[in-house]
Amino acid sequence: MKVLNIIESAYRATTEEQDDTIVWLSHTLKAAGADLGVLLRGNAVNYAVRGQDAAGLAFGAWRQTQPPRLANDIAALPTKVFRSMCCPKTSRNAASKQAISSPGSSASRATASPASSPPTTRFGTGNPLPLAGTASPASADFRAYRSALTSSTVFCGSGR
Amino acid sequence: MAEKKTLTFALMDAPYESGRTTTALRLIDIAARRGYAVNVFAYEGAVLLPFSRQQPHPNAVHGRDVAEENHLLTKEVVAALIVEAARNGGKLDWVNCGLCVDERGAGEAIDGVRRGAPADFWKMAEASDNTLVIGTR
Amino acid sequence: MASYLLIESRDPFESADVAFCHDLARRLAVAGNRVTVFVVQNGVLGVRAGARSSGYAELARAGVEVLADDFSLRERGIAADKLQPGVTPSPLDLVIDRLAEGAKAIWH
Repeated sequence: MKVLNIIESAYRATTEEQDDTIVWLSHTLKAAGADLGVLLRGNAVNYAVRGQDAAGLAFGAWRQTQPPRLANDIAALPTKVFRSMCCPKTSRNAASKQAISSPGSSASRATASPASSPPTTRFGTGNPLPLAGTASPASADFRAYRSALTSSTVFCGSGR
Repeated sequence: MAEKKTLTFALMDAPYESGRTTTALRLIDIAARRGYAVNVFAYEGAVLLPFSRQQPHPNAVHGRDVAEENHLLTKEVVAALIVEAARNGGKLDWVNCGLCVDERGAGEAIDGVRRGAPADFWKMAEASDNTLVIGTR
Repeated sequence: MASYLLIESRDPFESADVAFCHDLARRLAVAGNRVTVFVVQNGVLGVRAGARSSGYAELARAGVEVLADDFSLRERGIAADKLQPGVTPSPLDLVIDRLAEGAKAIWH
C-alpha cells in the first residue's frame, strides 16, 4: 500500500510539541515500513525554507532546549518529498527561492531553476488533488504524485 | 520605576493544538517579568494547560531520551510564570472555569491554580487596566 | 482619539477574513484613531516581501502602524529586512505596552 501524506497545516503548536507532529508521524510510519510520500502544500511549503529559527523560547526560568527544526526534519525524511510548486510570479510564498535541497526531495531539485517555471502553474490551489495535469516545473514529481494517488492510498492530513 | 499594571487574559485553546497558546504564554511571560498583576481565565480546553498529570516523553525520531527531549509541558510553563510574576513583585492568578474542568476531567491542576466561574472573569476584567481575549477557532 | 490594537494571527492564504481586520484598521485610522496591527504566528506569512500582496503596504499608507512579531518571522525563516513595504518587525513586548496603555485590543 502506498501512502501519500499531504501536509498543509503549518506551525500548528510546533513550538509546544517541539516538532510538527505530522512530519514526525511520517518519520515514524516510514520507520515502520510504510511506502510513504509527502506533499507539502499550502502554508506547509514554508517548512522547506532555509533559515527557520525557533530557538530561544523561555517562560520565567523555564528554557526550551529543543526547539522544532522543521527544515531539518523535512530534509531528513527518507522518502520522496514533493513540495507544492508555486510560480514566483503568482507566488503566494516567496519562500520557493529559499527551498532547502536534500537528496530525498525531488521538488527541491525542481525549484533550483525557477526560471523554468511556467507562469501559471500552481499546485494545490483550492483542490488538493490537481488532476488537470498542467505541465509544471515539477512535472516529474507531478507524475509521481499522480501515480501515488492512483494506488490505494491513505491520507494523513493535519487539521486546523 | 514603570507603573505596575493589571492585565487579564482569557484563553480557550487546549495545549498542543494551536500556536495561540504559545503566543498567549509569551504575552503572560512578558507581563510577569514586568511584575504586573496578571489574571488568566482559562476557558474550555485551556483548563488543561495547568493539568498536573502531564508527563514528558522521549523522542525516538530524533534519538532523544526524556531528559534530552526536555519536552515543553504547559503545566511547567504555568508554574514558572506563577513564580516569575511573584519574583518581580507581581502576581499570576490563574482561574480554571469549573464547568470546563468538570466536563474534561481536568480537576488535577498544579498548585497556584484555582477553580472559578465566568463571573470571576468578569470581576477580573472590571478590576484590570486592560483585558485581552484570545478566542479559539 | 482612541488607540486600537488589532492582533492578526491569521494568514491571508488560508483565511479570507484577514480582510475584516484590514478594513477595520483602515476605517479606524481614517477616523483619526491611533491604530496598530500587530501580525503574529502564521499571519507573518503575508508580510514576507514577494508574497502575493496581502494589503499591509496599503494599510501602512493609510496611516496604520503595521508590526510583525520578530519571533514569528524568525520561526518561519522570514528575514526581518525582507518584508513588504510599511511593515516593521517588533518584539511581542509591544503588545503588552499597548495593553498597559489602555489600547482597545482585538485578537483576530
